[in-house]
Formats: sequence, structure tokens, C-alpha cells
Amino acid sequence: MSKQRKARPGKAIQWSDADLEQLAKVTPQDIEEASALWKRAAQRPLRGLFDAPSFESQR
Amino acid sequence: MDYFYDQAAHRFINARGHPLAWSTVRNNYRRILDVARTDVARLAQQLRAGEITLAEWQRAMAHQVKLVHVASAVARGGQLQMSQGDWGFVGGRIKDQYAYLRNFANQIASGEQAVNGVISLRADMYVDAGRSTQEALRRRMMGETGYVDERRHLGVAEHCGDCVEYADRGWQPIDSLPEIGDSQCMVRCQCFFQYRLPDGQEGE
Repeated sequence: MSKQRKARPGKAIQWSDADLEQLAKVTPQDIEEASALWKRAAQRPLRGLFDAPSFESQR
Repeated sequence: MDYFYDQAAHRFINARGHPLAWSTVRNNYRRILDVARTDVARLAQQLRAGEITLAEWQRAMAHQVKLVHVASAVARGGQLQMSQGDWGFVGGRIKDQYAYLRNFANQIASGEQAVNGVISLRADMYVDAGRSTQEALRRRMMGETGYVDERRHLGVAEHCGDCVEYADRGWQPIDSLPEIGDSQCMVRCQCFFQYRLPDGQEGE
């Protein structure tokens, strides 16, 4: 039987409130990743929903 | 088939003009959450097994938190309909979750939170928080576009006492009922809001 590895969680990252503010900002890369997730996980006809253009813009 | 967002009617429509039920959008967002749930469970398992450090787990969790919240933009009609203010609103909610996550990580580091299965259960709630933001974003949008009343519906779940009470209140001025996630059942809540115009016309 292999020896089970002992969990060593280590130290937490000490985020300041200012760090949280900065980290929480939504970037274009975040939007791209969310779009990719929708394309991967949604039902087939709805995979483009996250990127849907407005109907008004198509007129 | 391509979908568009009809800004006048506040709903998605297909190329033939047929509307997409909001419940369908909501159910598909749950599929997004399920993918994130799998990733979060794997991260918790890796942390428990000592395969990743707490700092690595914390960073990866923060990424998942952000992803589910950004993906909730469908509640506003998708990313192309999101204003800077909307993204700021989402960012504020992400920040709140990050503050909880910081506390969670500190509890793990100090031993206050044992490295056991409870970590998985707690981590999973960060995924569910995305649904709360999705409902909050939709509520914000409906308020901005002229809807004046809201009614809480119980989703398919075992309901806590708070949710049953809020649903029993029926139609109320928009933004007056506690938001989804602000009940005894917290982010596990499966409730959703329906909205009504001043002339009494009921929306989704």
C-alpha cells in the first residue's frame, strides 16, 4: 500500500482590500474565458448566448 | 441557430424572432455552474491530497469565482449589452466573494478549518454565489428598464422558512424583497424573481 501523502496546505495569500479591488476587476480576458465556458457548457443552440448581439444593432 | 438580444423586449430572440424563455437561459447558466463545480471539487481534492499548496488553491478558486460571475452577464443580455456600470456591479460582487475566500484560506492556514471534506462543501458555495449575482444583475436591469414590481418564486428545491415567507408576500416593489442568497439557505437558494410593469403586465 502506498503511503498517503499528508496534506500540507501552506500559507494563505494575504490579499489586502486594495488587492481584492484590483483582482475583482473584470478584464477582456475574463470575458473571453466566460464566453469560452458558455460555448463549452451550454446546450448547443445556446452556446453563443453570452456573445449575442443586440437585435437593434442588426437593423 | 443564432440568438439576438431584443433590448426593447428585454429578452433573447432567435433569427426568426421567436423569444427564448428566461427559464431556459437560467437553466443553461446552471450548466455553466456545473462545469465550475466540477473544477472546484477537483481543486479541493488536490488541496486535501497535498497536490497543490493553499496559495495555489486560493488563486485557482479566485479564478473560478470570477468566471461564474462574469458568465452571469447573460442576465443582462450577454457581454455586448453590459455597460461599464454593469461590469463594475459584477466586480463588486466578485470582490465580496474574494473577501470570503481570503477568510476561508486564512482559516485553512490556521487550522481553524481542517483539511477535510468540509472544504469541498464550502468551496462549492462559491460556485452557487454566481446564481445570486445572475439574479441580482437581472433585477438591476429590469429595474432600469421600467419594471416596478417583483415577485419571488420558489425554485425546485427544499425551501427554507425565509424563502417561503418571501414568496408568500406576492408582488412587492422592485428591490424591496431580500435578494436571492440572502435567506437561511444562503447561496443554495433556488428561488427566482418575476417582474411586473406599472400597467400590471407581467414579465418573466
